[in-house]
Amino acid sequence: MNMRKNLCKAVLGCIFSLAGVLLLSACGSSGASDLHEAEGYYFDTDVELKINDKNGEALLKKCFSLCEELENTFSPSSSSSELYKINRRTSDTVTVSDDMADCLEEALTWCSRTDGAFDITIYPVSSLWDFRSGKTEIPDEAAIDSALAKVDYTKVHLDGNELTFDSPDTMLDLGGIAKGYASAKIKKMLKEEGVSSALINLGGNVSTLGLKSSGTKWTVGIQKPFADRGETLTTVKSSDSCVISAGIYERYFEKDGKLYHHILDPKTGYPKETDLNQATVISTDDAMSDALSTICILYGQEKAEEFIKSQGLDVTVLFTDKNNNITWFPEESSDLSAS
Amino acid sequence: MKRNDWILIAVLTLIPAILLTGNIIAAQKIASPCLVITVDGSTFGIYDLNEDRIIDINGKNTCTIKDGEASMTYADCPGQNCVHSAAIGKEGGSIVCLPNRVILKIENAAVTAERPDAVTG
Repeated sequence: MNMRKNLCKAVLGCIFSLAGVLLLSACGSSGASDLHEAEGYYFDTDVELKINDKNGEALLKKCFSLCEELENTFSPSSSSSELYKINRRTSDTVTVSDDMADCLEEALTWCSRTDGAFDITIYPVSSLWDFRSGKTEIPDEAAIDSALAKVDYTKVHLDGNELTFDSPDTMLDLGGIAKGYASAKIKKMLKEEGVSSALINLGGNVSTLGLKSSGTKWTVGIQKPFADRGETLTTVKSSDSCVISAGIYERYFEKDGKLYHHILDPKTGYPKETDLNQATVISTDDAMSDALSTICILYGQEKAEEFIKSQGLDVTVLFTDKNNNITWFPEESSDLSAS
Repeated sequence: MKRNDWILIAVLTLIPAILLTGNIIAAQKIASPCLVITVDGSTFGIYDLNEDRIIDINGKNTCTIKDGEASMTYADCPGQNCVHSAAIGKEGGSIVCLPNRVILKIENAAVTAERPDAVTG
């Protein structure tokens, strides 16, 4: 009988040890990394978030609700958004939200610094063009001319949260800066929540916080223009910085052998003739990188370099020319270069 | 020992053995890269990359798995960005059809130094 008891004890001991091993392995597989990832749809694009934090799931939700809030501020097409209402105002002066005021202040600075080469009042023109539906329609010349007459950022004045328009037909399009503003705001929130490692990707506007869980910098691929999405030209390293590209390949159509892309010249109302396929701006200021990437395309490489120098901007730019050759400006840095 | 003792030993050793085997198989299943399709945030299906097949996604998109890679071979959306996205394989990545809210994503991607964490542009 004793022998039987001992036997039972021995076998039960084995079972418990095995159960312990199984339990440990289960814990090990789920606890090895606190990386939480999710994708969503905001700002008319796909949003990808990676957060290394034990509260990752709750923080992902918080990020997405912030995206929703900001989309409801900056969307030009959603009838419930603040921008939509501003564009269809009934009075010359509108009181705007803090986010709208902050983003507008930054945006108007770039309009002024570029003397209107970058102009957020381009909405009457940009709303005529359709680069998304697959149609290849060039807007009527008379319609473009009439819309162009409404484009002038100097008719917009911001004083605190008071936004005043000199003209009733001035309409705003913050597409060139709002995503940069949004990623900066998401990053700030995550920092305040104590997160030390995250990646925010708002439709190709990539912004990083800290290092990956492996202790290395995040790697960001640079899309190869006109190639399959996801095919990259090169890769850069990023930590507490943003990597934001603008390019003529992102939204475009071809008609009669000519390419019509979405980066419109506020002076002509047509896609800007440029020597660049793409410009990628790396900095610690997301809104600046967003605006500057578009400004680089609008200016072309030489003028963009002069502009960056004259403004004393602390940025690194990767210019991609029409042959998809990359030039670093001011120079390739080993901190950023992954190769 | 009596016959019942041997039966007891057999049962008591077999149970953990079965559990352990099941755990190992499950772990392998979880750990190998697979394709997860989501529609509007809900899982549509999980697929083995090693099995060539054509997946109809609600008549709006078609995903094709061939030679260990998944690609979007049809979409009824106007932009066709997803159809022009590079195929994704065991190294990871995702293909998004924004208008139809469809995401093809590789779970448990093989860790490779080459694959970036995100792509800009």
